[in-house]
Amino acid sequence: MSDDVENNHEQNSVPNDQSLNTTDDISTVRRRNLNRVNESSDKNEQPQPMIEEIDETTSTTTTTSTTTTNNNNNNKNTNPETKEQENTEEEKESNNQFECNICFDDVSEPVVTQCGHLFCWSCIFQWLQYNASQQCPVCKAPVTEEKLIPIYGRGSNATDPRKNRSIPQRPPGRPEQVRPNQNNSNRTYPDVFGANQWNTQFGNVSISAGFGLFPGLFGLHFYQQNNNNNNSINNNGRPQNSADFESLLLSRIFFAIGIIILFFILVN
Amino acid sequence: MSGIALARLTEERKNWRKDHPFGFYARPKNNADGSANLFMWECGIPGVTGTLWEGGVYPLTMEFSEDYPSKPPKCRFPKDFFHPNIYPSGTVCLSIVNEDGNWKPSISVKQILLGIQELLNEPNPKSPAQQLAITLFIHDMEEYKKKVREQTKQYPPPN
Repeated sequence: MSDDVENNHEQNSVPNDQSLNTTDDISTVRRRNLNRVNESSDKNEQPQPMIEEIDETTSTTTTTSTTTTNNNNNNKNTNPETKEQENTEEEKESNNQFECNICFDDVSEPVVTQCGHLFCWSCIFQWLQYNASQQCPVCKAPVTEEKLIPIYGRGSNATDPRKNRSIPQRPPGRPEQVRPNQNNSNRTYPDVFGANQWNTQFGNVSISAGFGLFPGLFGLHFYQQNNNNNNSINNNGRPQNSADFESLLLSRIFFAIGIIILFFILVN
Repeated sequence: MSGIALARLTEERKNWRKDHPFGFYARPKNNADGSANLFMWECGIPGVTGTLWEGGVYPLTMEFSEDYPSKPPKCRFPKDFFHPNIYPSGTVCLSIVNEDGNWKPSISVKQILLGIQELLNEPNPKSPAQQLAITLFIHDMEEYKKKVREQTKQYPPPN
């Protein structure tokens, strides 16, 4: 794998123009970081998308420059990277790399998604209105209107196709990735087994007595609340600031109310 | 999406005329007044050489809606077409032409037709669409082959 990365790196470092070199420097830095961080099984999967990203950025920079660089780019593509091969085949087959993926015509008011797919603004807009799941019409990656990037060619009208809506700062051109809450879930674990166990347990019991049906849900709620104030809590589980104290007090009051209600139910 | 539908179908037609796979045909039906109806296509899918389906060109109609390409076209073989994944009505049961399946607006007419061609010889027993063909396919392969060959003769290639 690291060999592949090395090859790719060298291959990209053909000095076409200034922008290429800069992206290349970035790639070197990122590669080093990656090697350092991903010692585990991630290592096999991680670098691949990174390479693709860099390829995309470099190829866009070259195509927007001159025709000579374009030729260089094609020569480069003959290297055995499968994705690049596909690209060259597509280019040879028909010269349609600037066609909208929805209407199959030359793009008008071009916008590009985070996953790199090109559309007419009107086409993608109507698709996003129609398609509730907000997926890219090519690769089904999540797409939002806000994250579309308008493309302004030379001589074209540089108005935002997304009519009169101010564009937020352009996001960097990398595909949106679906990784739901990996960090969050990791963060909650230490709390459950950690110092504030007693507090959260306490909250859990009281809420379940008070409201009945969904003890787990309310318990979770309390974990999260404590989570945010993690730093302000001592090892012995005593809250330091007033907000924590209030929440503790509140949970005790609920607990008491719960006991009382339970008592009444039993007596009657 | 109707503006897009017509524009897209025009492009599809253009692309098809420029280049299409060997043995296939696909053309818009004519209206009563002789003008082309781009929303209704008549297509032909040849059976892959070296398979049971070789020698036949199977007629298929593609019906596009105003919502195309947000919605896939409806693909239909003749009624009672013999294949495990084709409904008795002739409608093709294939994920790439299913709106809730793998349909994407970027799938072209050519890709659909090639997909259906592949489906002919590689039926998917997990999503059966008609009783007769699936039963024979699972329990009586010889009879299944016989039926397919009979059907092949029924749809000779057009001259």
